[in-house]
Amino acid sequence: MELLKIKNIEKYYGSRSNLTKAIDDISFTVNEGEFVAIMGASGSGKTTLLNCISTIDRVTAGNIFLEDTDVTHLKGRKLNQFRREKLGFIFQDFNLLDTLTAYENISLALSIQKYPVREIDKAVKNIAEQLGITDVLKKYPYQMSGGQKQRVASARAIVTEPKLVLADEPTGALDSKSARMLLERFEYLNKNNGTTIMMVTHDSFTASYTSRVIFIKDGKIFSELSRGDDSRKQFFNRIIDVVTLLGGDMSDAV
Amino acid sequence: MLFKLSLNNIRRSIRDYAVYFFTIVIGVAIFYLFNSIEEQEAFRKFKSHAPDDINDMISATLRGLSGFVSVVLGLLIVYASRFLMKRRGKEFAIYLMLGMGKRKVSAILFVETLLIGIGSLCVGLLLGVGLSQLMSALVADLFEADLDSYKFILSCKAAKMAAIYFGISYIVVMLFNGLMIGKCKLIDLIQTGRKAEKLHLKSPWLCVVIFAAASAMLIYAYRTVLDFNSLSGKMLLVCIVLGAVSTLLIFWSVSGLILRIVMSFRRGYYKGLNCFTFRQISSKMNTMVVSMTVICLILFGTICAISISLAFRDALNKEFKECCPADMELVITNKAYISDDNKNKDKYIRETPEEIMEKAGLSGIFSETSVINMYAQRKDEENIVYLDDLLGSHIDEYYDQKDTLYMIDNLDKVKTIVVSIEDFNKMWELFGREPLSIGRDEYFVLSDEKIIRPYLDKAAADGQEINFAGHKLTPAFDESVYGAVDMTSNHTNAGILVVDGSVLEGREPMMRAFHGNYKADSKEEKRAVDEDMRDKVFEFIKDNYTDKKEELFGMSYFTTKVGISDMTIGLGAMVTFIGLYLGLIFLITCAAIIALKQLSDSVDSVERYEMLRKVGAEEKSISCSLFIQTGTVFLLPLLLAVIHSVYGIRFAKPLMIGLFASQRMMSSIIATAAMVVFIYGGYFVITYLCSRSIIRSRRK
Repeated sequence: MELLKIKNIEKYYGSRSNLTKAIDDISFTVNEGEFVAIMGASGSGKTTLLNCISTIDRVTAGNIFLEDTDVTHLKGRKLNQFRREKLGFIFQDFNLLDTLTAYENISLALSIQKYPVREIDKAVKNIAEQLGITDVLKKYPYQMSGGQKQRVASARAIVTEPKLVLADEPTGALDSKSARMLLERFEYLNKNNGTTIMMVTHDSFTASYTSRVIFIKDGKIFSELSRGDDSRKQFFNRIIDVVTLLGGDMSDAV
Repeated sequence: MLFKLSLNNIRRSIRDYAVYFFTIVIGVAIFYLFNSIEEQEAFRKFKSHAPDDINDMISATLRGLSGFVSVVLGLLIVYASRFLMKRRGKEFAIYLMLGMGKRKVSAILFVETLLIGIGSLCVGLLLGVGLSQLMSALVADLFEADLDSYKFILSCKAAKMAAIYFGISYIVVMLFNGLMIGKCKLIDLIQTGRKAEKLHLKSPWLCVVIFAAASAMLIYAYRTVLDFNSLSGKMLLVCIVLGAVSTLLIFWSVSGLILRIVMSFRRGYYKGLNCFTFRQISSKMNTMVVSMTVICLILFGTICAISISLAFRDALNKEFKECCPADMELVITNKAYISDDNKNKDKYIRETPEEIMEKAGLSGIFSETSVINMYAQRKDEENIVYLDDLLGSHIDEYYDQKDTLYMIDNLDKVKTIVVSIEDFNKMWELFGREPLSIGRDEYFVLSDEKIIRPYLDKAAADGQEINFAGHKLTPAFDESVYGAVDMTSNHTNAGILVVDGSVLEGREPMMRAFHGNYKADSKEEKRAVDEDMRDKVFEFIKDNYTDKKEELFGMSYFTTKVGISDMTIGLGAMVTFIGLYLGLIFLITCAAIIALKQLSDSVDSVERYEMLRKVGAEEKSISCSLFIQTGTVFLLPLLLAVIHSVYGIRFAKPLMIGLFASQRMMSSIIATAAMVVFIYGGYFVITYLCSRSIIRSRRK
């Protein structure tokens, strides 16, 4: 079933005399339960695309539908409510509140949505177990490793059971071991809980954990790969091929 | 190039500098205001009337206070500049990494401080001059002087002092900054922005124990301070130290406990943004234990200073009206009473007070006069009446009073002064009262001292019988009579015995007290007559006896209503002025410290609020959380300060104004509360609004 439908969106920056097209007519759909990666070099418009979907930024033209709501037309309170209830965010720099413990960071997402206190505890412990962070629940962010922080941040994004989880370079600040652990957890959540995840990355290794990769270049869709029945290794090799085709400036990909 | 960089820096970090600039401008303005008081027209007018000793006292007090104020403001400048330095560590790190020498960075900072300094000095002085115009109206009211015409006042002396003093402060700050740049390591500068929040929770049991101990200490201090009978100077000091230490401990333990307590209410804690809000409060409080203590103590001082000084002035003015029923009084010792073996007998004034007035050519100035003879009891007499005899069985109750400092503790040694009812009535009529009549074997006591009078009343009601010079006397009324013979600025007459004239037959009076009212209608006329009268009396003394104070014998008391009024208004105004002034400076200073701290905290927390928004918190609940945080930090020190003040005022009241009859402090307390709410509350609102705009600044 179609969850996210992006229709001819455009995003321009600057004035008439000096126009930059960050997104130039992009359309695609994401089905429920999919795990999608968006790849592209820096400046290709992938973060702008994510910002538009997450309603942090507004599109210049086109529509974005989540289920049946056109998010480009939401405003004020309705927009806040939509963001809060339908979307979950994971950021490159974790964005955890340093004054709160891991437990409180996760529960905050629930209490903002006015969950009954009784259910909060159960939900937090449940998601913590799934992400393997039960041991660190009582710790503060500065007492955790980067991988643990990112898993706490992911728990916070997922615990409210959003329709769509948006992740912006989630492995960007992690070492390869932590990155692998996090991606395995994403895979697990996607397979077992049916969580729909859309992830922006420039890292081929990270992208190889997903079921579909959309490549963007200069604000346009350049290519698209589906994993099908390939193993992760085979999928990774196919991604590398496209990356090579995309150009030299993605040479930092593993 | 350096100058340009500095100027650009200021322009860029204008918001950080604004707080710094604002603080210093206020400091300069207050400093100018304080030192320009002596240039105020009303103040000068008052000084020209006031006796020399009061003028000296005022000058000395002002000088001392100005020094004290300087120190407080200097500390504020250092605090504000440190805040600024902290904010800009990263910027300096970039300069250093680009290869700029430390000396050059110091130079940039030097130029910046100089620019800000000159700017704030100018703006501050302008503000001060403007405010001093406003102050002149206020001061005129305080000194009850009429300002004939509006006059623009510009005190060069005060401006010069402000410039010199703040110049010195800036030099200290510059040296301090230079030293800091020279000493610091690059790595520390780079990491100033990164916050390694170390939030280790304090042990709750330790907090509870410390809290209990601090509360017990505080209660002990409160009780000791209010027990005047056993309070010594040393004990008072101990209590003050105890109070300060327990305040610190209370803030320390509360900062540890508050989170635990809130956390135990799971339902409330995990509701909305509450867990975030209380974590923030707890972390703020943990870093502010010392400054909160200082602020609490300063607030305590402020509240006491303002309310007591206002009450003091009220009391003085009220007393004055009651205590001066006549225009002047002159008391001369009766030369015939002085024993022959007194080696100074010849130097005593020979004339009676009436004769002095006549000989000095003053008999024409009075509309009415009276003379009252005051008799003393000789040592060798039988049946001497001491003050304690007048109290009868109530003497123990009198000594048992605990809430006063001013108790006469040797009543059994004080021989009462006796006057006749005939003399008394003459004076009483001059005072504008109804004459009283008593029988041959009756007496009453004239008293206005508020500590002893209730017991005199009780003794009179009991029918306390006394034995005076072989006469058995009973009370004429069932209470004492309120009043005194001598005019003073406050009520100090413990008791004068009034008896029938026949009882005093054959005695020589010790003193004669002369009272008179002037023939004058207006205030100015009275003042002129008064000055003329005083001059003529002293001229007479000088011509006939001596012009040296220590060689003059027999002039026991010489006072006038105008003289007492000048002194009273002067004293009241000075106390009020100093109280208000100090109170306002303290209030502004500590509110500014909290505001600065809150604003810098908000700048540090921008990221956190941004995250809350990303997680989906609504703007309304974020503002609400900020409001609670700011409110708590402002309210907690005020709360404890108010509790302190309740006891502080109760302690200071008898000390400062217990001498006077006025017991009402309500109006001055309300005035104080209004002032605190207005200034402190104003700071709170401004801080909240600024913080809100800071945390919203990055919203898209």
